Amino acid sequence: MDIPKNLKYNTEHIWVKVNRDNAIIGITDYAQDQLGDIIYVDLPEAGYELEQNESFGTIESAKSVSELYAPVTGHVIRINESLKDEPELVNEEPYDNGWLLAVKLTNEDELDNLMDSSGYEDYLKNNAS
Amino acid sequence: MENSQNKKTPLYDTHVALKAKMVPFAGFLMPLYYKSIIEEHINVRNNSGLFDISHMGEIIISGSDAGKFCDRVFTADISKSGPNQIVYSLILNEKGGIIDDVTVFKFSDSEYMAVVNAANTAKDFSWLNFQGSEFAKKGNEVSVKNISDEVGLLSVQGPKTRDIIYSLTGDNPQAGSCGLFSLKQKSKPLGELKHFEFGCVLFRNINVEALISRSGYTGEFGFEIFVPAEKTSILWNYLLKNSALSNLLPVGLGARDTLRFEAALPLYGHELDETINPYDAGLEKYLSAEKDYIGKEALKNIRNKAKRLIFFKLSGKQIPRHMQKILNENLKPIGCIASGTYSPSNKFPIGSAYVSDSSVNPQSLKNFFIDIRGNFEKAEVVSPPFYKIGKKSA
Repeated sequence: MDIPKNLKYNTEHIWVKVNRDNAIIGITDYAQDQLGDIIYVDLPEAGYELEQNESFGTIESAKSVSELYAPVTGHVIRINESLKDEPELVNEEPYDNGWLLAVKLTNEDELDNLMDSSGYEDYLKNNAS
Repeated sequence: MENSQNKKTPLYDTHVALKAKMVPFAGFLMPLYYKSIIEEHINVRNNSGLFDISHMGEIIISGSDAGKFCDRVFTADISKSGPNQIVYSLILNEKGGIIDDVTVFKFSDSEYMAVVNAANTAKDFSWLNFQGSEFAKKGNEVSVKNISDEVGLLSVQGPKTRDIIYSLTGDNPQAGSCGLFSLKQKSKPLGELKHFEFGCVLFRNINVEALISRSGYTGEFGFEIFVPAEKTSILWNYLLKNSALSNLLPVGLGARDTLRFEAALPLYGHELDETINPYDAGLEKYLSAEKDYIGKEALKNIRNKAKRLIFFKLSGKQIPRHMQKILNENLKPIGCIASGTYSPSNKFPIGSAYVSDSSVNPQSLKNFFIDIRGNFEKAEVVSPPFYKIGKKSA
């Protein structure tokens, strides 16, 4: 399972890549593997206010629907438009072309609530099926 | 669901070794997919796929009055069929509600086998067993036996299925013993089996004898293969070892569901349950007019359909799910979703729904809305199936 070192993670299998007050958000390799073929990603539009730990959308695989929980608080600047036609990018490149949202952070202190890669790896070991 | 409460098929360890995603289904831990539902689905449509369906139930009905008994508990004409033939039928309760949909294999006038949905094996067996004892009280000779745990069942489906199965088998056209079963009538050669006929084959190199039927649940050409439980993994591994013969890939329950739904085949618990009668489900052609069966009397009074099953496709991407509400163009609820899925062959979501509002005429219904978690998605009524062999449809 791929868990890049330069990202932060929440317990809902969402990663965030922070560059000053800009962040990119996506789902982890573990999450895409658990979901299986992703058919549809329901994301908010640019301008939406994300709130840490609140649901901001859903991701739908051939078999199930899962809520997406925000790892940070902030304004959505951009969404990954490619996912409209190619939701499978989330399966193929979850940390790359399968990203979900670009966000302007409004509360950087909250980043302390997230796990680093080794914390997330331990979390998977202890909690995952 | 607790894992420890779930049963395992003889192939459980094999699925785990193949890294399948295992999920509880109908009281069994089953593979949902090995790699990808969509890939597995497309491979069945283009090549061939191997399914473990050992979770399904097998109930033997035997005795000199077995035929008469089958004609009473199943809605279709069973006893009239020939030996080595299969009949699709419903089991109804006294009120005309659907207890299960099954296939009935006829070995002889005194021996039949019902192959039943895994989720219903215990219920069907207890119903058939009870009806059997009532029938016996009236001086008939019939016995009902659940042999599900002794049977391993594999399904090989898809246009290239012949290439692998014909190459690995030799015909076994003798009457008599065939693995767990015994054929009273000698088997046709495999290549001559028509849809819904069965016979006996020998998988040569592994020396496994199997009952084989031209049947399936995918809308494709295929076989279902019944072997003794302890031989199941030998056969599974042998078929996969020879997978190059037909580009055979293992297929999980996820693709089994998308395949059956594209072919518009009903699934118990979705299109069918005890609150639904055969007219609601559009299955009246499996009701015999020529005999009496349990539920027939009740059906006489409910021929005005209370619900109607319709099929639809969506232009949006969200997938409708079981029990979501459907609404007319004024957003008034008119029914609910039976099945909903993504169609890998068509690349859009498809579904079925029961219209329960009697003021709606399903024949003239063209469009409606589905409440998918608060989004009203527009659906278009289509005539099933969504997939037919050699035809792009819907």
